[in-house]
Amino acid sequence: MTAIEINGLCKTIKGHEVLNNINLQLEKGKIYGFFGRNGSGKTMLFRAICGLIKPTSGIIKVFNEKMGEDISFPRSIGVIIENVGLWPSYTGFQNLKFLASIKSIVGDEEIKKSIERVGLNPADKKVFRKYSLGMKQRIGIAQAIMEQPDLIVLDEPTNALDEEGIDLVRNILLEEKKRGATILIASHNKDDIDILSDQKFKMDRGLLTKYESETSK
Amino acid sequence: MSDYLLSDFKISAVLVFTREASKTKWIYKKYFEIFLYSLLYVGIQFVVVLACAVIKGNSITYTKFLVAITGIEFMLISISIFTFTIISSTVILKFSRSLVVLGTVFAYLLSLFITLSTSGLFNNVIVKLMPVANSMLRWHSVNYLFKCMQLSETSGFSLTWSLCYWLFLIAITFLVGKLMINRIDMVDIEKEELH
Repeated sequence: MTAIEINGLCKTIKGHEVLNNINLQLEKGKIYGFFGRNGSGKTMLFRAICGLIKPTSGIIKVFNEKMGEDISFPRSIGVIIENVGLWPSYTGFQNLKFLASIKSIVGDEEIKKSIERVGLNPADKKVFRKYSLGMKQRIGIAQAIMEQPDLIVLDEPTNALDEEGIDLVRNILLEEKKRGATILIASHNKDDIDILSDQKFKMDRGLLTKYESETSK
Repeated sequence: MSDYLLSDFKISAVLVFTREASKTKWIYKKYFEIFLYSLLYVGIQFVVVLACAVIKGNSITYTKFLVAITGIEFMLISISIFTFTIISSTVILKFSRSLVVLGTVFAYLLSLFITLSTSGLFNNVIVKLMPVANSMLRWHSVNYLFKCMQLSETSGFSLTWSLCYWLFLIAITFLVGKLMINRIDMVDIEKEELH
């Protein structure tokens, strides 16, 4: 089953073509890696897939629903794009509870479980602004997976994590893949991409190219 | 409250929006929350004024008029605060905060100045631009204002007209908000690294 289908996607911002005729077809239940230098268009592509930017031209379909027409945002998605922005005066649990209240499909137990999965303590009273960068990244991963989404989009998921944290996140992503989630990862760290991805793509100046043939995991 | 929408937008737009059913639903939900806050804000002010009057030992001469004045003013002031807040909080999504604040003040003063300089009807200007003010001018003692500004008696106040005026503004803002939120990119262009 096709998870994401993109045809002729272009995005121009202030005269710069940040996405240039992107064509892509991604299957459900696999991990796809996108790499490229900063400013190459990875994040902008992810934003377009998430419905956060309006393409200048082209079509994006997520699970056969056309973005901007059938849906504003993918129906079942977990996201981290760039820095994890959460409410600074809330604890990690309070932040996730607020986000979960928007869809109301998971309760306190699922939230606690996802916080524990990323190696944090759900009962921790420390507020988000006092979190270290690594803790912020972990709580970001927790919010992305807590609702067991069909599509997980992660921009630099291992940023600011130590070795143990990187291994933990990699294992979580492989578990999510086993569950049937389609996962998109962007990173300038090629190790993440090499270890996790079923298929790799390179972005450069808004152009997307398939990096190598599909490998089985 | 003018940055009420902006906080979702700036702090964690990605995490909030990707959980919402649609952008339009999100902005209308936020407008509704602003409406509730406006009622609360004005309600607290009314309670404080009432408490001050009770503490001072003022007595109610005409209960019927007090209820009418309080009811109408509460409704109109709440609606006007709500309208100003949703207009500025919608526009702020597209432009910078300081620009929106300055723009609001400038637009208000400009419209007031133009009408004043062309018609010279100060009372009517207040009635037209600030229907809320005219419930106060109608029933409250404003002798000091009349003396200071050399105004004549205020006439022509209509609650229906005032409500229609505000509801029209609200409807326009809802429409603009819907169009804007569906066209806007949720990205800080200034911070974006463009190749």
